[in-house]
Amino acid sequence: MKTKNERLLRRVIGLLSFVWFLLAFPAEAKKLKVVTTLSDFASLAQTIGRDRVDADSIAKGYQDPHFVEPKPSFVLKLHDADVLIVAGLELEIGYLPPLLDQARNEKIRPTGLGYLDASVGCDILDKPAGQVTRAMGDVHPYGNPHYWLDPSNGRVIARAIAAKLTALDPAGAADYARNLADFEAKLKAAEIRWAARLAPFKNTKIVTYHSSWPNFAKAFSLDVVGFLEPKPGIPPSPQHKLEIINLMREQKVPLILMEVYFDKKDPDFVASKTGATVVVIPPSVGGEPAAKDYLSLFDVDVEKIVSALEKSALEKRK
Amino acid sequence: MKENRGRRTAIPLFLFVEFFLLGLAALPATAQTAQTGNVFNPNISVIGNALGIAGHNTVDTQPNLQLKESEIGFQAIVDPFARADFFVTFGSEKGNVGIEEGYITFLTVPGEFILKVGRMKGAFGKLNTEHLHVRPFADVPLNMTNLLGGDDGIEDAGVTLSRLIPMPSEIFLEATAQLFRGTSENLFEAHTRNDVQPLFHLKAYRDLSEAANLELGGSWTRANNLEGPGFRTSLTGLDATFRWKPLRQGLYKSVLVRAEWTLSERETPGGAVRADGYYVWGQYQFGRRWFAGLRHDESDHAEDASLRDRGNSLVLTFWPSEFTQVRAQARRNRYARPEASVTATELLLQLQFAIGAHGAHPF
Repeated sequence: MKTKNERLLRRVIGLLSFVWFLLAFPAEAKKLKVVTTLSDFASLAQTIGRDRVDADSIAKGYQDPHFVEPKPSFVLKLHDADVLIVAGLELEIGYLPPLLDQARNEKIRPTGLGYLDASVGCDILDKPAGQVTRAMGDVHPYGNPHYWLDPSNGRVIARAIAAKLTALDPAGAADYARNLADFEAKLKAAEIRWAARLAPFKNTKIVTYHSSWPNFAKAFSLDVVGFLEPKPGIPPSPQHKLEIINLMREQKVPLILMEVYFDKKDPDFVASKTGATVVVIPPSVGGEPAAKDYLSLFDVDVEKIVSALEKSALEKRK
Repeated sequence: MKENRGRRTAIPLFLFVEFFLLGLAALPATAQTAQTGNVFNPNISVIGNALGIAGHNTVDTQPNLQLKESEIGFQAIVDPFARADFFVTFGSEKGNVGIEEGYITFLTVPGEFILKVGRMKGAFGKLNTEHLHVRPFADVPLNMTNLLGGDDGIEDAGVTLSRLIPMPSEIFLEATAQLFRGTSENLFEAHTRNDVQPLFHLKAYRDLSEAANLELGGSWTRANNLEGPGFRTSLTGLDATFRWKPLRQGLYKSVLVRAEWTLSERETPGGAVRADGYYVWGQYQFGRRWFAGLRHDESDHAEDASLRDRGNSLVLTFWPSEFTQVRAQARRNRYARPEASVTATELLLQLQFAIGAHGAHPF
């Protein structure tokens, strides 16, 4: 009796393993592996691809995207990738070229089918006119690479991702189209929501730490009048802090906006001299736990800015 | 960078063949090439390295001030299959010009190999593979001076083949095999075409956490040494690097600890000499642009293992921007000599600056 049961059990296990192998394994293997430099693109790719893709980013949302270390573990990620989505505009110049050279994966090289430069078709600001020299600091000669912080650029990127996924996985075309339409509908609703939240603060003057927010400011009608960094990539000097303090007093700037990865000491000092509020906001998905995807990133950022401005307006009235 | 990378134009042989094969039909193509010539030019970068030394040293007799090395880099994509990198260096004295490295890298070789052909640095440990400007000190540690031939180390004409070895648990493992002509300054000399130098390197890397990682390496090479035909030196190296950089504060804080050990087994007319040396280096970043480091290094002489030099250094580095670097290094070396040992206490001041194309950050 015991042996009969055992035999039955073995057969059941064998059959289950076979079914698992047939069903689970090929389904797992079919998923497109998407590697992105920024977490924002990974979030968009996951939103568009859902269960047909596995998206992962190299940089984390709370790290400075200019200074990512070219770790060999990223080589392994890129080696197995079907799709690579980059910000372009030389944002990744310090780490991506050597990683790609070592990845031994032709598909995701700039000439490969799996390569997607997300900046194509986006509204790119701060393109330097005239001669570019490093006397201007660490400038990006092709324009400001923080363009994903404009939701309408997010729409362009999402469409490009859907097109890329469709090209690589035609069987999923209908899924990608449906997911994109779904995302665009949610984005449209969110844009109305964000605009309404920020409507009372239209054209508010702000100072930012690094020049990361021109697209964000344009999208949400904020006016960036200065930066804590004297030049991109150069930390605030005493002289420059003084200039910024004077400028903020003159123009009555209520807000200093900074990313989660900068030191808060200098912004706090300037704020203490000017009465402005320092708002630390995530510049990318995952920059803080609440910013879990592309849309909630803006929810978090908009909410933090609005509550700081409301508080500052309230104090002024007092 | 990628926008500027492209095929170098005006290759005489190519034009020659084109003209003869295609005749007049080639003319429009040539005209187009001339117009887009700059687009396909390689990326050019120049790195200057000024070094000042104060203090008395009868063993290492470098001048008080020198433009120690100027490196000009030319880097571009050759065609859909390869890229090329040239680094021309100018030494401190006039006429002292050399190709530090000049190689083509084939990135799409079947079997997931990467193939390099040309003149290149030996994949021996960490320091030997690094150019002067990415090294974290103003000099090189004693095991490099005594056992690897000096500042440049193993650097020769040859072929490199490297491949990733699949491993579980997200371990990065890369095997590199090199075959060199067998002549490296102050170290190896090939007397016949058969005196080739094989070099093997294995590099293992793993993320310990998001912020910390560990890299281990092993290297081995053997070639004919300077004693004459038939006398060979085997070199074995082990290296370990620990890095810590919390991502959220990565701009301001990091730690790097590295050690490299070198063993030289040298055949001489008087018998084999077994000499070893090592350095241990710890660096702490305490500000966005400030790094402080400590180094202990010691090494036998490759020719006489009974003589062991020892040194300690304190290094402070400041980066005014991403493109300039000022470094002060206080160094105290005790050189063992048959007659009597010599102690030298010096201050090295180094200023490095880069213009042109933005290179990748070293790791």
